[in-house]
Amino acid sequence: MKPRPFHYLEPASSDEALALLADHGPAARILAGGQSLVPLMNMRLVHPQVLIDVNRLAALEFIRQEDGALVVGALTRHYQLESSQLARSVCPLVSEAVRWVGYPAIRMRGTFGGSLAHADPTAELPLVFVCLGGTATLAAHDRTRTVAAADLLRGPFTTAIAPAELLIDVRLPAMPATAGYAFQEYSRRYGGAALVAVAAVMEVEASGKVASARLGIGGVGPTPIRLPEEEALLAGAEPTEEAFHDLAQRVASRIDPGSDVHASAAFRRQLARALVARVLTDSHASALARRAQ
Amino acid sequence: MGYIGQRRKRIEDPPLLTGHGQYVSDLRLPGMVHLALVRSPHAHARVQRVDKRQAATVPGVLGVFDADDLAEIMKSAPGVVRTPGARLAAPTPLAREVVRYVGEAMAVVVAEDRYVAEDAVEAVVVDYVPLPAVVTVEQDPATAPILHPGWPSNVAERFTVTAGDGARALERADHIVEATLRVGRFSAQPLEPRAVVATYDETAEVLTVYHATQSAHNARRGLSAVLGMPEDRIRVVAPDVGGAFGVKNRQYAEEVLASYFAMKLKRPVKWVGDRREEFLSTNQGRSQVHYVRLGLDAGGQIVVLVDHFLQDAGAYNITAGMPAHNTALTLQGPYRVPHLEVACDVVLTTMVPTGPYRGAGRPEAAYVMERILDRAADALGIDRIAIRQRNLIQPHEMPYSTGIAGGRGPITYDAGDYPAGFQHVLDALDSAGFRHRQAAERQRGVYLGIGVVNSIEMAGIGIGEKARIRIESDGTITVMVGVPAAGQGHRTAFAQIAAERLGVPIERVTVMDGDTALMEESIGTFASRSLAAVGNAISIAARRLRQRVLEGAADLLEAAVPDLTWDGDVIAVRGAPSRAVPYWAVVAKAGAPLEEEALPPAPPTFAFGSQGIVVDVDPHTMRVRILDHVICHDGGAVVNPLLADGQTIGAAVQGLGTALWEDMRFDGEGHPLTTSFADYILPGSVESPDFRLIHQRFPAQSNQEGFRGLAEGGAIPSMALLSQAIEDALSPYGVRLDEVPITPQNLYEVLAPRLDGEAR
Repeated sequence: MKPRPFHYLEPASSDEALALLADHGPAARILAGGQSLVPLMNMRLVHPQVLIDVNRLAALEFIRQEDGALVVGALTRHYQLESSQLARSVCPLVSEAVRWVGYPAIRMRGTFGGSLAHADPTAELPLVFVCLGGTATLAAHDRTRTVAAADLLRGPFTTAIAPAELLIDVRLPAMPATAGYAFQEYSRRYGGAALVAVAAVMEVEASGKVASARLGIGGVGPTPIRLPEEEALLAGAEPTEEAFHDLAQRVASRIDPGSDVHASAAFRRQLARALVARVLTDSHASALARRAQ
Repeated sequence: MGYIGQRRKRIEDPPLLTGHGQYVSDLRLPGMVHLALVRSPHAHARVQRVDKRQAATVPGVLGVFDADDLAEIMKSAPGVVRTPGARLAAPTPLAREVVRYVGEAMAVVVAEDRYVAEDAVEAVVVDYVPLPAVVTVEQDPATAPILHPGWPSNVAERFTVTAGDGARALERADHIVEATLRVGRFSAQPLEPRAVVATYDETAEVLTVYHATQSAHNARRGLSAVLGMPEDRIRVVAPDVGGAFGVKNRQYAEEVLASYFAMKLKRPVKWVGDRREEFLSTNQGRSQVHYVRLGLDAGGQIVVLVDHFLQDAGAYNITAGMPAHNTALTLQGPYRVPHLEVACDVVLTTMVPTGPYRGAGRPEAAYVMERILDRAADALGIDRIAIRQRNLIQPHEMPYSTGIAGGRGPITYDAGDYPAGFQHVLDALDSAGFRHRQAAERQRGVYLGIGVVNSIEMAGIGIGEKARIRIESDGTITVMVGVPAAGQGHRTAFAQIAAERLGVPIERVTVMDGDTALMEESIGTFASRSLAAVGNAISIAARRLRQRVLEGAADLLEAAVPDLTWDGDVIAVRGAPSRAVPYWAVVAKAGAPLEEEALPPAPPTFAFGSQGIVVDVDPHTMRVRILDHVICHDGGAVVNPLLADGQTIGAAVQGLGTALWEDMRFDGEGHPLTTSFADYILPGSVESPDFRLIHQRFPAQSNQEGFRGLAEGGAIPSMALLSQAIEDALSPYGVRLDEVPITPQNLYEVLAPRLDGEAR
């Protein structure tokens, strides 16, 4: 459990980091919080020749509001997001979800950018990113581009981030103040990886009917999945237990989860069915409560 | 003094909690080199060729060696096989020609640091010819590949344990219930993986081995045998040890290799196992299949218990027989079983070897007995609680002879009130009101279940431990014992006993342990034996020493012993406080430290335990939530209730791990699938319930102080307890559970066919 030899570089600025990335390209890996990369290196499953440590790039560590959206610097630690009042008021779903990331020691070091770039299909923040339809800013030494959530995450542990690119920040659209939300995941133990995770945002009409919804699910495919068909079915739906259960059943039958040592595909479907129903119920209750405020 | 029985914080804690512990991995000796092992990626393969050339050229590598290069140490430590005629398959430090489990070491790299050593391990090229893997004990003798040449089958050891009329009594039973019950494989995973540092003093010609072990002396015996060196040239020291749970008590390859290279290279050699190696190469536990039958009379009284079971030994049966014997010897638990017949086959497979792991065969026994009692209750239409009450051994039957001869002498339960202990648990759980509560909750779609099971904790192995106590002229009192400690709090408990029986302030007492230079002989810390064995030795030595000090003081003070008082440091003549000396004045007068030692016999102790639990099972997600967990345990004469509570709770959490979370899985080719904490799920503090503890205190009759072993009792009932409770919760679905662990996936497989799309 010792890594292979590697060169360690510690740029003092983003420009320097981008220049190093341009030089080393695919041979380099970015070290941020190190909560996934370092164990993978120690197990010799990943062996970069060059490690570019971005932990000194304080400019990438911020949470702010721009044009209504919540903008989170890539180097923002999970605990910072967890305790941010701004995040809670602009985009409370992300505040809710980040509490499920690992446990406090991991949240002290792990970063938002690292979680997205690692693209673990069971991870919480990529799910929120997809569910809310966020965008990511990617910079190379000679250009900067913005990539939508659906385009960034390509597959398990695979993203659209080019070898010479650095993830700079993530933009999450502000949630309406009256929108309800819920996040639930099922893991084998506290702080463990999710077998299935579900996130939802819901707005309701005065009658209690669902006005609109966003629904995303993680752990059941190569990337977190947004469910636009089910979102469309929810718009205008009566908020009955049966309606939510039917929708959950529909989700369960449409996903194509994999099997591993913790859960078979069939059990993951069962979990998805249970969690979707609960998250819809919870987000509806949350919407009623927030509307009443 | 009142030290025995006093709830005291541990002497060990301040250094450990402030980072001042000295574990093997903390040792950094000048010139130290490091080992890394080339481990087999195959469960079973012939080694065709080992190409070490490229590895040997990695800068910093001192050498790369396989079994052929180290022929002189390719031997096995003496194995422990109790049954006459049994076969012993024992490993050599490096596998020769054939590897028999994934993780088996077949070459070793010596290098200047561990990083380089691992680089070189990657560069060793081995050509393997895969052979068929054997991943179950339920083998068809006609087709199962034989793992060791010349063996007729993979059955290494076959033994029976009987009492009364054995299986013939089945004919007299009114009812016979039977079941096939399976217990999974588990990995102990102490916080500190196995570790060793060896260093050789050329001048003194003494090899010193710092070793995370449960028995420095056992490790020395094994090293002496394999290295061909007399024991007096080997010193083994167990420094702070970070958990052991039974798996750090056999010879492993690394201690032999480190010792060998320390002498060859004349440089200290270190190997500290990493987490992956702890999964791949350290003994695992449990893994049994039982075919059990219980015969009862019309009134639900047990007539006979007949069991045939298979113990998965893994690739070598060096230690697997021990838990198997414990299972057979404790199968009947705290119940009256007039006739018993247990037959066991210890069977080899191509997985990492098994051996004792906390409970060491006792949890499997409790699982089988308690589950077959549940089946019997269901079949006869008797309440699961009532059938237990009907069959528990009664206080007036004590001492109760089981009729089992036992490898450690006849098994006789000495004292206790089992029905009262069981009743404590039933009352604490409000079992009488539970069915009403359960029915009400089901109306709301909440599935509660209750579990109540009993167990016997057989502790000790019938062999004693020596303790020595010395008083110096400055008042220092040193207690010397052979057994190391692995986190149990020995030093605190032993100091309490010594201070109490000597009659001195506990601050004067220092406990030294786990060093072959300190004590000539010792067996080790396992089988919950240390308190009864070592504690009584300390007690006896302390009483003798007290008498000698008082006699010396009587001379000094020109008084008779009965006229003296000993209060704290001071011995005085009763009624004449000015005629007084500190106790160490006697030592000064004697001109040499005063010393006493004792090695009393240490018969096994048998402690009753009962646990009750209420769970909430979510049939939609298979989530099991523990709402209440009550543990009643007979700790005998308890030295330190804080330590007793800690042992009981720690064991109970480990037991829960084997019931609900942990599961050592292998694929059909024998590859382990759960070799990190991402895949092998240990319960943590969040998963652990708030236990409610009830202590019974029936002093053991078999030792002077009345101590009973109690370190495993907490873990013994767990698998049975959770099986019963979850089955009860899901009784509307008609679920039957015949296998542990009950992971969510395993529960889903049982429940899914009954869900009919109704559960959402």
